[in-house]
Amino acid sequence: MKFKFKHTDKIVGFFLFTALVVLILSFVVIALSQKILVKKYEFQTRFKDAVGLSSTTVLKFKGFEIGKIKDFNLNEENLIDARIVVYEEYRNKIVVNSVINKSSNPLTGKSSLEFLQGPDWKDILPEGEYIPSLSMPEGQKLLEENIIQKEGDVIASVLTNIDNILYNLNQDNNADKGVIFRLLYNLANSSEVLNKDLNRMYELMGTMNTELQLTTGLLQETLISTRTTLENYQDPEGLLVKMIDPDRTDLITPLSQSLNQLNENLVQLDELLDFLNSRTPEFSTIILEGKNSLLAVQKTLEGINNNPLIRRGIPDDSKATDNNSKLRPKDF
Amino acid sequence: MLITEKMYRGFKDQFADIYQFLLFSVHIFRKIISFRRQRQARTLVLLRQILFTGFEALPLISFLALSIGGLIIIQGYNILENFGQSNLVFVILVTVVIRELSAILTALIVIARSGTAISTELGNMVINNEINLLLSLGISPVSYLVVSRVVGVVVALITLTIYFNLAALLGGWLFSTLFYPINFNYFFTQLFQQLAVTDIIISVLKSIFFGIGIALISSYQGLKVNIASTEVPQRTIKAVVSSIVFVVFADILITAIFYLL
Amino acid sequence: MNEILLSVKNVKWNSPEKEILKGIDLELVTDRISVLCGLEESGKSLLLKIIAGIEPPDQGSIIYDGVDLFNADEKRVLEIRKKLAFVFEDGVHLSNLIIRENLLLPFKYHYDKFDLNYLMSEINRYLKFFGIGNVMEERPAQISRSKLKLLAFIRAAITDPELIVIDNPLFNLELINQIQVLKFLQQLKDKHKTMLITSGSRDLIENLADELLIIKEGMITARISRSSSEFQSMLDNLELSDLKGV
Repeated sequence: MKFKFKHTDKIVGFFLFTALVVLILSFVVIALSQKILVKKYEFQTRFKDAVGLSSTTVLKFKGFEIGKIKDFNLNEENLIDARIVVYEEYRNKIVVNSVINKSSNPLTGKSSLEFLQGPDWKDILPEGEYIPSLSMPEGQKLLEENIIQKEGDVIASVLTNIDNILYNLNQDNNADKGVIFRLLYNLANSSEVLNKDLNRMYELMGTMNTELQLTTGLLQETLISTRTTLENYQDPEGLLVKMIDPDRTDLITPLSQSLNQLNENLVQLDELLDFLNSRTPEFSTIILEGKNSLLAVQKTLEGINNNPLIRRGIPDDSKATDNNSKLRPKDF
Repeated sequence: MLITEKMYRGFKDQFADIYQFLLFSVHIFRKIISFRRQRQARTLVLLRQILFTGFEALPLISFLALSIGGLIIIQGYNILENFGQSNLVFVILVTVVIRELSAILTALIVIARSGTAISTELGNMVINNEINLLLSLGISPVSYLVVSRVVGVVVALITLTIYFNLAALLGGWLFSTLFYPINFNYFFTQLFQQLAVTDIIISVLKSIFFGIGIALISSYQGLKVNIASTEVPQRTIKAVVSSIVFVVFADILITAIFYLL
Repeated sequence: MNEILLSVKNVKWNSPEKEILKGIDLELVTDRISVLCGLEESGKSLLLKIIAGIEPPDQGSIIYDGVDLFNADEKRVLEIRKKLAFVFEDGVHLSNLIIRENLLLPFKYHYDKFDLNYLMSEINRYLKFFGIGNVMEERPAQISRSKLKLLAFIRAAITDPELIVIDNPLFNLELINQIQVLKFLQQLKDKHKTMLITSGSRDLIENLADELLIIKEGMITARISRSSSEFQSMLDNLELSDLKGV
C-alpha cells in the first residue's frame, strides 16, 4: 500500500499514458485501414434506387477497392444522387465514358459498386464530374453503343455475385453448406416421380386415343348403314309405300326430310370427331407444360424452404396448455 | 393523510432534491472551469482518485472485458454461422462491445467500487468534522473534495473504457482462435474495417458523461449526510441507485442522439 | 492602539427544536485574548463556529475587516479565511492524508509557492516543544487523540493568522500537555495574536484572559475586562445562576 502511495504519480502516469497510446494507435490504424488520410477525388453519380447502399459501400475495379461512397440522397426527380470518392492511387483509372454498376447480393442485401472503365485509358475524367451508373439511361446508352466492355465485365460481376452467394453458402461450418446438393438431389427425386406419373399419363392418353379412334370407326359404320337405309327410303317404290302413303305426303316425305337432316348432323359429328382425334398431341403438350410449371413451383418451394433467411421464419402454432388444469382435477 | 397528499409531498421532496442537486452540479462545473487554481492540494486528491478508481480497477475490468469479448465471439459464431454470416461477428463486437458495453459496464464497476467509496468517504468526513475542518482552513470542501473527484473519476473512467475495449477485442480474438485458427492480423484488419472513429468517440463521450454523473451523484449523497453514521450506508445506497439510473438514461440519450444525427 | 478586528452583529441560530443563539452582539479587539465561559449547550461552540465562518447564522452577520463573512464574494472571503485559524475541540485532521500533508494543506491549497524549508523547521520546532516524536508520515488514525490535538495547535500556529479561535484548548489533555498548551498560548499572546477561546479552566482564564465573556442560554450576559475589579471576584464567586436560568 505504501508503495502505491509513494509512487502514485508514476503509476497513474503510466496508466494514463498507456491508454492514451492505445487510443492514438487505434485512431491511426483506423485512419490507415479506412484510408481516411489518403487524398481522395470526388465524383458524382446517380442511381435509380439506394437499395443496399450504405456509407461503407466500396467502389471496386477489377476486384480492387479503388474508392467508396461518401454520401447519397434522394433528389427532386426521385433519383439517388451519390457522391463517390476515389483514392489517389486509382485516380487515373477514372476516365471519360466510364460507368458505375450497382449490383446487389440477394443474401446479405448489401450492394457493391463495380467500376466499368471507359475505352480511352488516357482521357482522364476531371474531378467532380458525373459518372453515369448502369441504372440510368446515360449508362445504358454507353452499354448499348458498346462503348464500355459490357459482356466481360457485367457477366464477370454477375459471376462474382453468384460466386459470393456460393461462397457464403459454403463458408464455415454452415448448416446450409450442402444446400445446393440437397436442392439438386430433391429436384432429381421429384422429377423422377413426375416422370413416372407422366409416363402413366402418356399411357392413359394412348388408351384414350385408341378408344376415340374405335368410337369414331363405330360411328362411321353406323353412319354408312344409316345412309343405306336413307337411300333406300329416298326411292320407295315398295308395296308398303303404296299401301300406307300413296301420295308420299303424309309420311314418306317428312321422314325423308328428317333423315336427311340427321345425315347432315352425322357428317358434322364425324368432322368433330376427326378434329378431336387430331388434337390429341396438343393435349399432351398442355400436360407437358403443366408438368414444367409444377417443376418450377416445386423448385421455388424448395428454394424458399432452404433459404436460410426465411426458413423457420414462420413459427409453429404452439398450443397453450393450461397449467392450472394439471394442478387440480376438473371435478374439484 | 390522504394518499394523494402523501404522493404530492413525495414528489415535492424529490423535486426539491433534484433542484438542490442541480445547483450543486452547476457550482461544481463552475469550479471545474477554474480548476487550475489551488493546483497543488488538488493534484494529490486527483491522482489518488485516478489510482483508486482507474488503476486498481484494472484487473477486474480486464477480466470482465476478456470474458465478455470471448462470450460474444462464442455466441456470435454459433448464431451467425447458421446464416453463413460469421463475418458479422466483427460488426457485433464493434457495436456491442465498443459502442455499448464498454462504457456502461465500466461505469457499473466504477459505481460499485468508487461511487460507493466516494459517498461513504464524504459521509464519514461530514460525521468526523473533517468538512468543518476544511471550511475552517478556508478550503471549500466542494472544490477541494468534489471537483478533484469528478475530474478523477472522469479521467479514470475514460481510461478504463479504453482498456476495456482493448481487453474485450483481445479476448474476442483469443476465444475465436479456439474455434478457428484466425490469424491475428486478419482478425484485427477485419475489425478495424468495421470500426469507425465515431465508435471510439461515442465510447469516450459516454464515459465522460457517466463519470461526471457518478462522481456528482456520489459526492452529493455523501455530503448530504448530516450527523449520524447510520446515514452513511443509506446515502451510499441512494448514490448507487441514482447513479445506475443516471447511467442507463444517459446511455439511451447519447445513443439516441447519435442515431438521429 | 487596539482596533476592532471582528464584530458579531445580532447573530441568531435556531435548531429545528429551539432557539440556540438569541441575538449575539460582540466585538473582538486586536491583541486581546477573550475567553468565553458557559455551560454545555449554552451555544458557545456554535458561536465559535459561526465566527470562524464554518456555520452560517440564521440571522445577523459577522464582519471581519469590513467584509461580511457570509455575504460577500468568495474571493474576498477566502482572503479573510487565510487570516483566521480554528482549533477544534477534538483536534480533527483529514483522515486520508498523512500528518505532513495535513499540516501543509492550507499552504498547498492557498498558495502556489511557499517556503517549505522554513515551514518544516517551524513544524519541527513545535513538535519538539510539545514533545511529539516524528509522526509526519503517519496517518491521523495511527496517533493518539492528545497528540492530534497538539498537532492542531501547530497547524494553527504555522499559518500565522491574525485571529485564532480555539474551542476548549485543554480538553482531553494530560497535565503536562495542558501546561505546554498554556505556554504555547502565552507565546502566541506575546506575538500579539488576537484569540477567542472557550474554556472552563481557571488556570487559563487567570493566566491568559484579557476579558471574560459569560454566555448564558444563547445570550452574552457579561463581559468583564481583566483590568476591571469585578474580574477576580467574578472568578471567585461564580454561581450556577450566572450561567443557567432557573
